[in-house]
Amino acid sequence: VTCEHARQWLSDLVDERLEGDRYLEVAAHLASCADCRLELDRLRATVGALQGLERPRAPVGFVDRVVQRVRPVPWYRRLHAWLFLPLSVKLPAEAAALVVVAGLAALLWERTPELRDASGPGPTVRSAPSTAAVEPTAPVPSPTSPEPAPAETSDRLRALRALSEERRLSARVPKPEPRASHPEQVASLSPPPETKGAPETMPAPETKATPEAKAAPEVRSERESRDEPTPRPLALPGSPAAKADRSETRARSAQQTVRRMLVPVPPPADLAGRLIVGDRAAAAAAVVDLLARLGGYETGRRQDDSDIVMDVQIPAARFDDFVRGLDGLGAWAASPRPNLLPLDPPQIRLTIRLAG
Amino acid sequence: VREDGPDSEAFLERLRRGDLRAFEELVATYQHRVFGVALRMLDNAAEAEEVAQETFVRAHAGLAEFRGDAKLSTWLYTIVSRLCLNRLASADRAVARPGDEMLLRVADGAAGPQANAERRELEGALYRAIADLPEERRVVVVLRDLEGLAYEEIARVLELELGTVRSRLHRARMDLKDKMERFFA
Repeated sequence: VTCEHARQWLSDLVDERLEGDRYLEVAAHLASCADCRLELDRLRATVGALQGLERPRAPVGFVDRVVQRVRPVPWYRRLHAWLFLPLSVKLPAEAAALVVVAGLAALLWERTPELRDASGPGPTVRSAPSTAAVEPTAPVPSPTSPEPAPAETSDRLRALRALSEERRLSARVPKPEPRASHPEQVASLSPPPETKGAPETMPAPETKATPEAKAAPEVRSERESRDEPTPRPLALPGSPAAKADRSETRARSAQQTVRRMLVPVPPPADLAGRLIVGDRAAAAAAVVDLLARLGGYETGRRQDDSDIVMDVQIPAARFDDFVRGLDGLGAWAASPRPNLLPLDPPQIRLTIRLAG
Repeated sequence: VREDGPDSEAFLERLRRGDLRAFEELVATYQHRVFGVALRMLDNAAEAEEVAQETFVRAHAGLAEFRGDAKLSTWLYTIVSRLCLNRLASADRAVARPGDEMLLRVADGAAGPQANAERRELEGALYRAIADLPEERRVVVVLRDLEGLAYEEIARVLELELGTVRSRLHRARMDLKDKMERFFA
């Protein structure tokens, strides 16, 4: 047995775990090897020192702290903790939930027109749809139109003023509507801000009774049809466009309402156009004949400087024939095909300016 | 419950039923053993108490399933040893510098100043030597020479072969002997 071999078993010898032949071998070597005996003595001293070390004691209150950790919490304390204590967690969570709900509400508001209609006027309603809805009622200037811009603007303004008057007159029909009965609300149906600066001396040759008598049934029909979801070119009462207009033009509309009550304007046209002719009076007579042939009729006429402005109504089914007839009388320039009046049969109103 | 006696079945039954008083007795009985292992393994009193508390909390959670195949002390040594080894292996613990926590406990009021100084020096050297051992050897020498567990019990606690326990203990003791040579020359 070598020293190296014997020293491998010194630890077991210290613990008295060596038995049998191995114990005899190691013991025989130790009896003859002073170095290994010294090694064994040092190992025993070390192990003795280890085993003599004082055991550390747990800190005071250790048992109570452990028991406190495992003690079941009463239900009312758990409830209290759930309700009030974790504010550092609950407050951010509640704030995040609030933001999410607000975002969803805004999204729902944006995507649900019914909600916007039901909520009444508000400053957040966009005004862009209003302009888009009203513009088709006015003549669209054609790039090739020879008419100078001021005249076009005058016609457009006149058409818009007529629309406003129609709204005002509709408030006087036997079936009253609370929304239209208030002067300010009637004024809210006035045209968008394009009317700003319109001349107060705008000619209005028609009397108040004439347009009212002729336009009332049509207006009533049109008003009844406004509850239908089909898109219309006009800014309807209760629609987002009308509300936006109301909020933007409220201050101006009151003044314009008073002005319109004093100066009646013809009913609005769905289409306005210009017919360049050599003889305006002869052309006017020809237009009347054309109307008679096609089932239409003249609803009004006025003189604007040297031009004659005719308001006519034609069945929608004969509109194309009417336009061809106008082309035969002169150079006809008009806005695109208008929307139809919801009458039976569908009708189209036109304002024809006979110009030289 | 006696520390060195067999575990009483009645006491185990109380523990399994969730008797808090029985659990309190269990903690009071084994607190110093568990804390001692943790302190000698971690050499940090705060960490040692934290691990010792966690040992008993986990034991409480598993008492209902404790079958009594092993002694309660063996079960507790198993838990605390694993918790210590896991903590020592964690990245956070790697930067912790072992302190001199155990040196605070070596003073003996009954001995004279000279003897106290020599004993303090010896035990301080021993603690430092223990702390310098590799963890797998340290835990074996702590369980054997400081806690007095048998080889077989150590093998069970650490889930090692008996030969592995023996060889690790031998190497650990030889390392300590070499470092303590100046005291025992």
